[in-house]
Amino acid sequence: MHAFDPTLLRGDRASVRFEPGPAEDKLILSMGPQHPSTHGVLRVMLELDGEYILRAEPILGYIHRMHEWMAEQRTYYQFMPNMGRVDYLQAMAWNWAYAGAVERLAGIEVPERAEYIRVIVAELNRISSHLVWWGAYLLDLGAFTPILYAFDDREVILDILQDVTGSRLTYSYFTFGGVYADVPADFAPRCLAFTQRMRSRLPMYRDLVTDNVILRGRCEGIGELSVDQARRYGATGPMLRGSGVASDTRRAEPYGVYDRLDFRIPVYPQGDAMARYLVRTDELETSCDIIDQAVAGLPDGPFAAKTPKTLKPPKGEASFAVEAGRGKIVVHVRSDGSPKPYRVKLRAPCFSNLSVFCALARGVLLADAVSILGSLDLVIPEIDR
Amino acid sequence: MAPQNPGCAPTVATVDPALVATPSVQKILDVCRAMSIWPMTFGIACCAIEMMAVGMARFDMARFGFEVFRPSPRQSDLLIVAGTVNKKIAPVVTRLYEQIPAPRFVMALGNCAISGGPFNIEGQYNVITGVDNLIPVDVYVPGCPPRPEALLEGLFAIQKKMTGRRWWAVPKGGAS
Amino acid sequence: MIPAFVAAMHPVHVVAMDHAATGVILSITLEPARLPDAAAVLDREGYLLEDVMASDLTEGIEVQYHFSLLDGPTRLVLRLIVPHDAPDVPSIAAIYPGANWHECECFDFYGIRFVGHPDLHRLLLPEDFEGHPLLKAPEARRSLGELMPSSYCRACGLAEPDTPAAASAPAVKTGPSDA
Repeated sequence: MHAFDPTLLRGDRASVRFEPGPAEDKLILSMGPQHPSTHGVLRVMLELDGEYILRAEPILGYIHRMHEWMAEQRTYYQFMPNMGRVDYLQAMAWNWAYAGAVERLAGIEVPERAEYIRVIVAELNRISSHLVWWGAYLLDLGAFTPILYAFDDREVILDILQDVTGSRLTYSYFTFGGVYADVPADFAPRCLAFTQRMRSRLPMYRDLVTDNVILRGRCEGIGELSVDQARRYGATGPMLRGSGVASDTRRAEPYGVYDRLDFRIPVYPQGDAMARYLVRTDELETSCDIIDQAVAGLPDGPFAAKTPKTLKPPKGEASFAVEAGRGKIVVHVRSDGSPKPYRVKLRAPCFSNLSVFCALARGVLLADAVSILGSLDLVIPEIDR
Repeated sequence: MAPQNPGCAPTVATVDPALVATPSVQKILDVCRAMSIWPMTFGIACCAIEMMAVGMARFDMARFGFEVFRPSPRQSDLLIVAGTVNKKIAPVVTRLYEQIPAPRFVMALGNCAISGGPFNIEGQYNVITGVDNLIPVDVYVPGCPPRPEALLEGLFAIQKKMTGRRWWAVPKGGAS
Repeated sequence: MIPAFVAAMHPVHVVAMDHAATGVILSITLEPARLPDAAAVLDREGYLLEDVMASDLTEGIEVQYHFSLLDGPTRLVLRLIVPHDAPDVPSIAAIYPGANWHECECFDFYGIRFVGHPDLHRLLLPEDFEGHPLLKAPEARRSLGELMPSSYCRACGLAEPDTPAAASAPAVKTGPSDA
């Protein structure tokens, strides 16, 4: 039996590195980069013994779009739209992390109204991101209906955010010192109407989906991640909270006005895919709580601080951490006093979350690996940047 | 664009003409084909989410016949390139295009697929400036990302290309 | 203040930073050879590895490791500088498995060789890509004194440029619109 030579396939150099192990009768399977269950252009090289995975190795780079290089070519203002494209499902969180880092560098104070608006739109974005995750995860597991409901709810959020920002998906709403434009007059009642609607839908989702015996069978006991493993791989967000640690940047390093808001941090101790699923579905509800409080407390005032037309922060470096739906985003910005950043590092939570996959997938069934991948909540452009 | 490595070379696939030409049957077949196009799930980046949104309840492209999304190129008619094509994924796009049986159509969805989009800046090192450098494109849908309505108009343009006419009402105030 | 375990790392400089202004509470400069021991100390203390980043300076390539505890504003940064012609850094992938991919990324974009890394390869760029794109042209590089605030420079004895920071803007072409 000839060994498989991947260089015969034009351009497929990435799989040349993946050498089969010593055992006989093993199947090398290349999953992706075009695959319905890989959530974007992720490629996973698998060495299989029947249906059991002996070794899994993700291959990245299929959507590397040079964001960190572009940061050095663009001025501070010009780089903000890139943040919406790094992870389009939680563009607000990336906007905030970058704006926050530059505000720290330049010493810009954000007015209170802007902080409240930032919280509201970031939480709306978190709900819409979790809805896409939920629908897509269930689609991977074979259930086609929940994604229709999830996108239906999400369209309501998109309508609200569209009237605020002008975009449906890739927002560049934040600016240094606040937000780009004030919210329209009907923003507050629409947000409250949405949270009411969302809360009324959650019991149905719980009864039909979360308590569904097939979902439980496919998620419970799958992909168990210990806290120590998560810590050493750098996995954050629902990965940690699904392993029993109440670690949330909104509490640990409060930013915006989160320290004034009262919200629960859902934590589940089992560490498996079901625990992470429950953390995220609970976060749908806690985000509604935060939105209700922030809308009630929205003060009058300016929506942005005055900043110079050409922003030249003094030399130095600053980091800003944000709790996004997928984990902890940290943006490091380094300035040499010129209008363009010297270095911007984007710490993507999915990058570290995916690196745990190699360890979690060993010895599991291929179908369970799909379930584990879905429970990591990956968005590949964030990994590749 | 001169490809830097053979992986980014444009497609060389050709389609043989039909053995027997049957124009009258062809017109009927074209209409049938246009009313049941099977797109392929090839979402690369942000535009993929708008493509998914078009398949969902509010915009619902199933009304227009685009119900069946197939993951396999061998079972599809339409390749919607939704997202930025970079050097690593360029050979994948070409190979997928070549695997789609004729008659096949390509829609470049979003600015990145049309021209590289916001990443097409001087000195960039990794992005293919437009998927039409690799494969022939039938319809270009601009936007970053395009609205779902724009994607639907792009699909109607594909249908017009297949059959010679637009089949659906034009929104008030819009040109077809 | 400065925790007790920092002394076990044998740092070159330790500077307490203002979290509200910089996002980190501690900046620790190390000799590259001391890095694995420092990582082991942090692992024992329960720190989470956030990322490994590199930055191209006049003196060499500066590699920064960001760690934080699972709770609280506890981010600290380990820094080290390696020369351009010999960018070798010991790998900490054996202690923090998450560093495996971060180090591959630094190799990919800066050409840093991580000694002892199990499988150093290009992670994000195409396999046959030539060059390391985030390295800067020599005239665009800045020194640490031109990049760190004055208080840090004084604490570490770094030479700052004579002219004020705003005037030391690099002579690179700005784009057509400058805002």
